[in-house]
Amino acid sequence: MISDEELLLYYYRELDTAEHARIGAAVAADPELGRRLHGLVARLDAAAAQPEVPVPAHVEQRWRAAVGGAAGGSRAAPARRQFFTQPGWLAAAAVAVVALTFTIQHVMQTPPDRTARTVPAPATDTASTADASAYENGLKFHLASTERRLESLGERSWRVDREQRRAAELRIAGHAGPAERGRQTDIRHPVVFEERIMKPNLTILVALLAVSGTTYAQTPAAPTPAAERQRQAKADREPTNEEELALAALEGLMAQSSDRALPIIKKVLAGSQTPLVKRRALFVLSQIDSPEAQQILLQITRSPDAALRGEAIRSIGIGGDAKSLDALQEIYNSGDSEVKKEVLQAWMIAGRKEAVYQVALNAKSEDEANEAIRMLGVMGAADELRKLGERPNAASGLVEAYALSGDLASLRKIAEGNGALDVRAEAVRKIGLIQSEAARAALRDIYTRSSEAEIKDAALQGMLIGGDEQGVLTLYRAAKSSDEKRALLRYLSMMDGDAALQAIDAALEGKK
Amino acid sequence: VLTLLKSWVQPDAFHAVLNERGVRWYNACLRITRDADLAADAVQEALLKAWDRRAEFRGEAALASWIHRIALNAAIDLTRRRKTRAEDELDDDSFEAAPWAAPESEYVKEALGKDLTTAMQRLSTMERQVFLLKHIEGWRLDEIAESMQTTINGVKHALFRAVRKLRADLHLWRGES
Repeated sequence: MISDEELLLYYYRELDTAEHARIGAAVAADPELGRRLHGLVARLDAAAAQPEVPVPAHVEQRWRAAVGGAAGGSRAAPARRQFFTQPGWLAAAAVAVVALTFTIQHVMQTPPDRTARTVPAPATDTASTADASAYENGLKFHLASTERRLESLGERSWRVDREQRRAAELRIAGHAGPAERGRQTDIRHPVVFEERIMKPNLTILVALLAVSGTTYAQTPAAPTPAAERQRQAKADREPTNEEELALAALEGLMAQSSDRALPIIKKVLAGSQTPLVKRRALFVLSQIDSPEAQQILLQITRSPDAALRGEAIRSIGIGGDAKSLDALQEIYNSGDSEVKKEVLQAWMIAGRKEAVYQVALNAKSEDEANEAIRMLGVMGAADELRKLGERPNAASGLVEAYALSGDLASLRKIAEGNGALDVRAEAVRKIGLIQSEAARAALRDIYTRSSEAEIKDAALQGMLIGGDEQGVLTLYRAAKSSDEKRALLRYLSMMDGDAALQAIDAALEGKK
Repeated sequence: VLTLLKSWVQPDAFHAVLNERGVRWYNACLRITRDADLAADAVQEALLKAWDRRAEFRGEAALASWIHRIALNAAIDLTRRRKTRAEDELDDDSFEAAPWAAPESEYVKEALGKDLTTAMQRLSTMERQVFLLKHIEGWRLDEIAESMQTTINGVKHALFRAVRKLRADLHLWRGES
């Protein structure tokens, strides 16, 4: 059971990768959950809706006077003729920038279809309970905020990152192959890619890629491990202006046919572009539905460049091509621990439970087993995890995986079993991660029934993790000894909620 | 190219951004402060900071987004500075009793008055600000925590409390309430 808080944090993108993947998979798999999320967001929009107020004239005048005053005291702006003192390549690059800006603006001026595609229909069963006018306001507001987000996407460089994450989410749900792209409906705003990404002139794209590659070619990195790490760090930083141009050009390639896009991507991968651009090229490659594209990706999975290799492996997972995913088995068998992790991640993204399960089953070390088990947890592979749990000498990673997959029954079985105390306590704590009413009830029950201090403490920590203030307050009221009351009050204080205030108030007044 | 583009952010461009986005900044700050004067002050503070650093921005969009963020930070800061414990407890009453000198403020008062009839009025200052910064402005939890000088956990709890109150008022979600 996924709580509303979890859904909300998922919508806000505030969960860690594993949790985000778990909730994303659940939302994608369960239309009812998707409707619940939309209903929740639409109603919060409704609550926040407020008519726009014009700026009073005197206030606006005051602002202008303040800016005017600041301008009067500031140094003069640089003269435009400085431009002509710059090297010639700057002028050429500036022309390219202007050309790209013009192309982008031209496309941006085409308004997206704002009727129903950005905001899916609300769930009718819950909509009827909300105030109608507030709800209407909310929908309008939702639409407006959606458009603002779309606008901002035109200004930011992480468009593909966002789409990449989205593709991964859809892939986890196992229902978005390359051929299906563009037909998905989305709780959030999937039309971004279709409507905001331009279909630019191919010549301009090639020119931009060439311009942006030049500067990196002048500073090649030495093929040492230190240089490799440096290159990796460089690839993780914010893109430079030249890279932004190249990334925009690569985005543009996604709108081209594969026979036109492939030669350019191959050239980018073989050329002197930065690792960041090459990694983005790999993602674009994974979205091209052609055997040649898959072949290139598989070749790069054996590249000595760790960053590129990892990206190629992940991209195969995102692309979801069955043959390429099968071929990753050989890469897994022959790879080091880092490669193994990347392959497991690709299978996780592709929803390949059986392949990951087999790794966990046949692992040669506990670390290897735990990594696969963790992925099974992220995938919500409850059946596979249970099967692993029934084996003798079950790996220690199972507790975490059960929590990730939301398997309360298995966690409780460990918690109330005869295993090592620290493992049982960990299982109790992890119940707090599940964030459902059943999990909250289980923790209260474990706390009440257990006579072991470690388990009681773990139950309280689980309740703290799960934010079950009311549960702790109930236990506080039922506590018999003052020591126990003090301990519970300490937890309530840490939870920083209304229940804590109630308890503190009661304690000060000498009530129960 | 970057230097060149930076130098193109001239006073006219600055005023163009002000013309286009001023209403949005003002309304965003109004939601945070619930006070027309504080909202106007917050925007002005942001404009002055942005003017000093205008050369760092290329294009109007980046400048506008930056002013928006600075204005919200200023709004939070101004609210915090003005608010005393007693005012906090009487938050809504003090708002209703606030003096409204300029005739335009009647419009503001009316608009906010409508808002007061909604579920938002039941939120504490912190809950309202956290909710607005997260849900409307899309800030990350750590950004909100930093701006509001609290912890991420504190922000999360305030957000959840806000949502629970809003849910109760709008009879939200699965008929739980």
